[in-house]
Amino acid sequence: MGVVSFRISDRAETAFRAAGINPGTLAKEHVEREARRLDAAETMRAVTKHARKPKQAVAKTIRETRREH
Amino acid sequence: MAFVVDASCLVKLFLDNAGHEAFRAWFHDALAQGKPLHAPHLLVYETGRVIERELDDLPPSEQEELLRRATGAFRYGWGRAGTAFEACREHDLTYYDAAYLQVAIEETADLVTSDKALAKAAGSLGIRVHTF
Repeated sequence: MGVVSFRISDRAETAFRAAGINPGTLAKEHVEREARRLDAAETMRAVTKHARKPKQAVAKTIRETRREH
Repeated sequence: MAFVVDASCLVKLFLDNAGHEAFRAWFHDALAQGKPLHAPHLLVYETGRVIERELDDLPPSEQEELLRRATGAFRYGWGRAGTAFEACREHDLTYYDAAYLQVAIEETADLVTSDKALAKAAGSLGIRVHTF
């Protein structure tokens, strides 16, 4: 109890603390699963924050670039 | 199960093109379940180029952050030396295609792509393909 002997991300640790949970009091498997879930949600928020319709046909452009070189 | 994701799919995280909702749901689940995600280093540069061109209104610091977050979950590799060159020659692939396929072969991973030509090449090498 109280000492986390395995690594979770700082982001997940912060999220646990913000929720009033001391990750050191939970089972390692549970903490890791929750940390992944929190990390995934945070990553998706960050990468979709500026999402918009593409100006060009992106897949086609990537394909053409790969062919050109 | 491990996966190799190519840039044509990864950019759906921040571009609302065909299949973006399904890909985002898949990517979220892959992260949440801790599925191994692999890619050649090429993924970073192809994705960065799309960010530079498509999200050109963002300040460079935000473009950098977006690239870092989109590509940060991957383990990078390029397979055994020489094998991508062999794949180019034997299967008439560009080095770019071979780089993705070689990592998929090395990691015994499925390929996730929106690139029809890459998907076809992967299929011919016996790599399972998921398209979005």
